[in-house]
Amino acid sequence: MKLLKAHPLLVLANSYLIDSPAPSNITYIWNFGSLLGSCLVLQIITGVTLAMHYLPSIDAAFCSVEHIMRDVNNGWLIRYLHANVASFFFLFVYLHIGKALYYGSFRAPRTLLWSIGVVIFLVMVITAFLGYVLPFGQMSLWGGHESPTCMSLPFIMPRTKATNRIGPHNIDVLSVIFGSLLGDSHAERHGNGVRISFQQESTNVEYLMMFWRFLSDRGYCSTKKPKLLIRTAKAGQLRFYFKVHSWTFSSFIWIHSIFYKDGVKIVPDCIGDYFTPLALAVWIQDAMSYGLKLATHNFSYNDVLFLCTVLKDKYDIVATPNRNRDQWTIYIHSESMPILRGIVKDFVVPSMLRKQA
Amino acid sequence: LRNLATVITNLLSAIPWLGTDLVEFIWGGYSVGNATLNRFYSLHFLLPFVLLMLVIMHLIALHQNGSNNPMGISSSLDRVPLHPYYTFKDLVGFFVFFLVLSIFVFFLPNTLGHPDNYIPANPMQTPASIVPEWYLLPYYAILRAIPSKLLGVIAMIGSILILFLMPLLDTSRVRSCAFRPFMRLLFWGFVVNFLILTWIGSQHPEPPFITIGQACSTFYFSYFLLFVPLIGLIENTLSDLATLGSDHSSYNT
Repeated sequence: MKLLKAHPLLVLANSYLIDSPAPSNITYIWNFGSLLGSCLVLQIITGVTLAMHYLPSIDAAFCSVEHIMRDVNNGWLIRYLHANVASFFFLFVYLHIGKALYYGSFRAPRTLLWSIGVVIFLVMVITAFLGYVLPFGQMSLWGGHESPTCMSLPFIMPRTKATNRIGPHNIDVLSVIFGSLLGDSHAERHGNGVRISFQQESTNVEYLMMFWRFLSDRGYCSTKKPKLLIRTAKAGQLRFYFKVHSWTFSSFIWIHSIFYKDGVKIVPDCIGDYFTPLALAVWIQDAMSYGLKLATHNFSYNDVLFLCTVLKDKYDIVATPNRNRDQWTIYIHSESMPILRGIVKDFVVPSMLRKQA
Repeated sequence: LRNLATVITNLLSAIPWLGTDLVEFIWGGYSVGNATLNRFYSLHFLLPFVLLMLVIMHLIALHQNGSNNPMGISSSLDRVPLHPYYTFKDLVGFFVFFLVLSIFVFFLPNTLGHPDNYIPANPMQTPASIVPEWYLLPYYAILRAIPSKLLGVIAMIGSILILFLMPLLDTSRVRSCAFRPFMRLLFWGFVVNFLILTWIGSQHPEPPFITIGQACSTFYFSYFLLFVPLIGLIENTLSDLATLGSDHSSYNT
């Protein structure tokens, strides 16, 4: 006992934890302070342990979390403790704050205590948010299919000006846009940004609806279903078509600038980076008129040749430019068709599948 | 989860002039990527130790005057040593905590989390909505209650920072709500309102929920800025009137 009161460090422990004079009438509500302390200690112990096995990289994060769950001894316990204690941490802090509000613990002479408490709460919120993001690689594992980043903004801020919603756009969205730009769609300057405009004959309605749904689900275009439009073509024929255009985004400008040179659509040099199976599927559905030919009327010979090279390099599909009057189309060699079909089959709407066959 | 990171960090872009630059600075690039993940990890490791330091400061500040008590009056008349009285009383809470925590960890480990985290995303399917963990939902609801991005962010941060003002806003002469019937009623109103905000935060922002969320956010702020000072004044006045001319009136000076 004497030691407790004489030792320079133990005297602190004594005055805080043992002999500290406490009011005789405090209830169980006053338990939350020590419970919160225990939560913090638990979180630090489990957190440091998790950090020994976690890999902070987009490609490895999900795998390392799964590794913790499956391979690390009692890793599942450590991770579940960390995740669930976080919930209790906040439950307790709300009750702790509620206690202070109810019993007036924030009032003088405890204002400093209260203010430090609010700072602690703020740091807790930030820490919790940062921690929640850490296993985010898990979606990346599934081939970069994490949902788009842009939809969130119109979702929260429905009245934010479209052009002010900033990107970035994920690879799926970029795939669909690049794929369609290789086909019939256009990127057009509009206000302070660029929008993607897309038109299809009524026969391709299923494909167009897929395209529209893909964009509208992600907040990239209106949620109103496209309407059937009529125009008069040459020789007085009536043509039925649908038109979809995306919202205008300033974060689309770069897409416009690589696809258009002096107002003419070209194939950008970096197309290989965005030539995913999804992009290929969109392009194929857009441009494949019948059989093995891909309509690429608006591109020059060099562009078409470049596309053939990309097809060969990325997917080992043999294709050659084919002259059609003064324009060029791409002819896909029949032995490459099974490869192509295998790549795009997951992304192609049924009616297009028939057309392909 | 990457969504959430993007959404929340994107909110900073609402800051005039330097918003976009700030967001890119935090991301370490033009999107949430490897650099972002690494710095989040680094900070997530650091901040608990900052918390630890703050907790020590919290305890030092607590030690200055000791704990408050349910009566809200000075407890100098009757004190007991922390050990063994409250160390053992706290143990009861610890056991209950570990019991309930064990139920969650061993039987319901994912109940408080999101099932979406285990579903492979489908490129052709609508992604599930973006929802933070349950404990941040009230603030998420306040964020979404205001259509303007900048004001929404200010409201969300303000809803936490407004707690700093409580010592200034409370006009009552009585500390504890045990002796403040009106305030007690309002306090429980605030608790219910907070629970409703939690629920609203988990809902899609559709017509009935948007309005409810806006009403609840309004109440959240009026509790601090309007009701707390007003009820304090009303209660003070009532107690003045009740004790007018009596011997007790000297208490209220």
